[in-house]
Amino acid sequence: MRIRALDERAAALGFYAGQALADARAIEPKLIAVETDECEETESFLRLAESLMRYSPVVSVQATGELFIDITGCQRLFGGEEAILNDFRQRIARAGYSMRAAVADTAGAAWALARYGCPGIAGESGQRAAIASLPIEALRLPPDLSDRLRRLGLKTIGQLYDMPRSPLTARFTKVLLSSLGQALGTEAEPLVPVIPAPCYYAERRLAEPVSTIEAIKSVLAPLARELNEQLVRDAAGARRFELALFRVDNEVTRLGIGASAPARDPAHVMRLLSNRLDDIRDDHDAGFGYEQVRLSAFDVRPLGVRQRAAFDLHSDREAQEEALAELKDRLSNRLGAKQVRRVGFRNTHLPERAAFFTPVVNPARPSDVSPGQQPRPIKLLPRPEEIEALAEVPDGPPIRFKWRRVAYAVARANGPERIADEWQGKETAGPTRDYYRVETSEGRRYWLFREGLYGAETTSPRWFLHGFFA
Amino acid sequence: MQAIARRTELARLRRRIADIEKREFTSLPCTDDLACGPVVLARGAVHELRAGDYRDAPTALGLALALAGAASARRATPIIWIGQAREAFHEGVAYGCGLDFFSVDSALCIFVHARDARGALWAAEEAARHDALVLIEFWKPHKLLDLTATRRLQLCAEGSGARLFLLRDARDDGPSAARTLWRVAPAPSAADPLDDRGLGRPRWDAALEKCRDGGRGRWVLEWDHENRRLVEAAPHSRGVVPAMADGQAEENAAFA
Repeated sequence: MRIRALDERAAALGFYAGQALADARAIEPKLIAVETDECEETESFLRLAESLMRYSPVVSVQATGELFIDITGCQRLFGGEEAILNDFRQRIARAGYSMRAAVADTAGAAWALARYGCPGIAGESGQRAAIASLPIEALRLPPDLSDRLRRLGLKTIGQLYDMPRSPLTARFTKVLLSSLGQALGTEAEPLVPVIPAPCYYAERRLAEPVSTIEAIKSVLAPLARELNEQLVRDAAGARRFELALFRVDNEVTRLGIGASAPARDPAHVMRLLSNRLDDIRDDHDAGFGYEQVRLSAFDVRPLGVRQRAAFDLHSDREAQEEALAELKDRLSNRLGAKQVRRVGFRNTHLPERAAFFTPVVNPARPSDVSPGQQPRPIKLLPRPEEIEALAEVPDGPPIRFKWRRVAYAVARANGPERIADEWQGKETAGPTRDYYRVETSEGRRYWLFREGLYGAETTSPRWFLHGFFA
Repeated sequence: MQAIARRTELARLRRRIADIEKREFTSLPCTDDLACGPVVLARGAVHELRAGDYRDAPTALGLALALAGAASARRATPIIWIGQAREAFHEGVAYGCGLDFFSVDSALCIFVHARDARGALWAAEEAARHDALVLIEFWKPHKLLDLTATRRLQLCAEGSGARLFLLRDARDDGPSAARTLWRVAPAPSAADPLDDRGLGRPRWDAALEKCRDGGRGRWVLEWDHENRRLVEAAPHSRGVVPAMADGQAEENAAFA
């Protein structure tokens, strides 16, 4: 076992990462060592990254253990870069971590400063100068490339500034110049955010943390209006909204709501969110309270401004459709998208596969298959129930049967309708079924089937009840 | 003197009630009359269908579907079908392929499966605020479904013009604010002229037990698939004759 990481006190005593734990223990028996769990480490780093989305929606986690926050345009909300950096430092220290943070115009320069330079803020024009004296490794180069540069005497970034570009590319491939460009801002470096950044969002930082659902709702109403204004300006609507509640102690609660059609009406969005908030009322843990609330819109689609009918609402088709879409959203968000469904059909004879449910919000591919013209029950048992049935002749309809311990006499029957296994199907449905529509003497109508062809597949066929007719 | 004052006060109250009741209807264009037998089922109201026990549940559901099919034949309204997920294995789930028989367009249907009775009632209220046909299956007697709950549904429906069909167990005989209350039982189907052993058109034995405007009756109804309408069946050959519950039924059979 070797030491992977150590804190400042241990470092001061002369231990180093990569040292064998046994050696270290021999030097200092009181050393506290905890086995690393890579999974948990990555996970908690991600969680931390999520909670840092309070500064900006674009937070990117690097595989090498760094975290970028794109605070472009967010300074105004917090009162400057200095304020963000201080707040950030305090927050991380409170959470019990140590870190090095730097603010620069590019991700590359910030990385270089945080890893090799003096942490802090690189000024307006000082970026070029600030990283000039840093070692060449600060450019995030592959190790063999930086080794080669070092052997040639190119030890600092500043030495590269005035060198002719084409020989550099010829000798060290494009990687070197693109890294340099990314650090100096002449080349773009897209950041991949942990959670896709919304194009539209509205947020409030609260002077005093709130913890009750009612307080959150009152903060939310102006946010919904603000978001609506942004969306109206661009004639857009969103299919998904997300409410992020940032807790004082770096936890984030996210509540997502989906819409079946692009939406932006603040009243509608508020209603959906209120329903969700009411659902979590009993089991939400506000901790020491929420200090920041952000409402973001995802999956943005064009949505024109529509003129409502002034008087006769009943004949306004579009208004009705919009109302229905809103109803679907309300139902799906409160009860769960899987509980609010419409029906689709498959091109198959097997009754249990012929019709399927698909959520109203984000339905499966629309099928143009229509149900067959065969008489079919209005309700189907998810699992056919075995019954005891008595038939006059082995391959004829039953004359009486017993289902759920009650005996029924069959007065009328139609059938059989033979439904066999599909030869092209991969999964087998079992033996051939002969379906009968039967009516009992009281007038109840059932859908029964006999499993297995008498004589060919089985000698004692079993009977099942599968559905109910009206 | 006192007697006269009392009488004028009573007259005034009666007029006010009449006013209130009239207002329910004036806001709704009443173009599609949906008839269940000779009784017109008004829009913007709850109609309750009670069936014997779970074995008769499909019967009541079928009648509701037939009514929904007849209503949507005139005007394509969305149909919202609310059930409870936990009842699926006992009572079966709605089957899309069987809807076409009652000329219910499956594309207009939304199936809602609530987790419990509370969820089902919430969904029903939300749906009732929309101009739609709402089918609510409530087969287990539940204390939540009481006079207040049905009254709330009724008020929601009055505002929107929705028709709600509340399907429930007849053993659950609590009070209800539904506009009409029916007891539905299965009836042997009509004889099929082509196959004397086969099933004919589906029939129901429907008894009107409560109607806000008074009147009761009992009819055998039949679904006419070709013409997409619910008709009163000809007297049955096997002796289930439409029996009137009382003598008045015939004269005051047509009301809202």
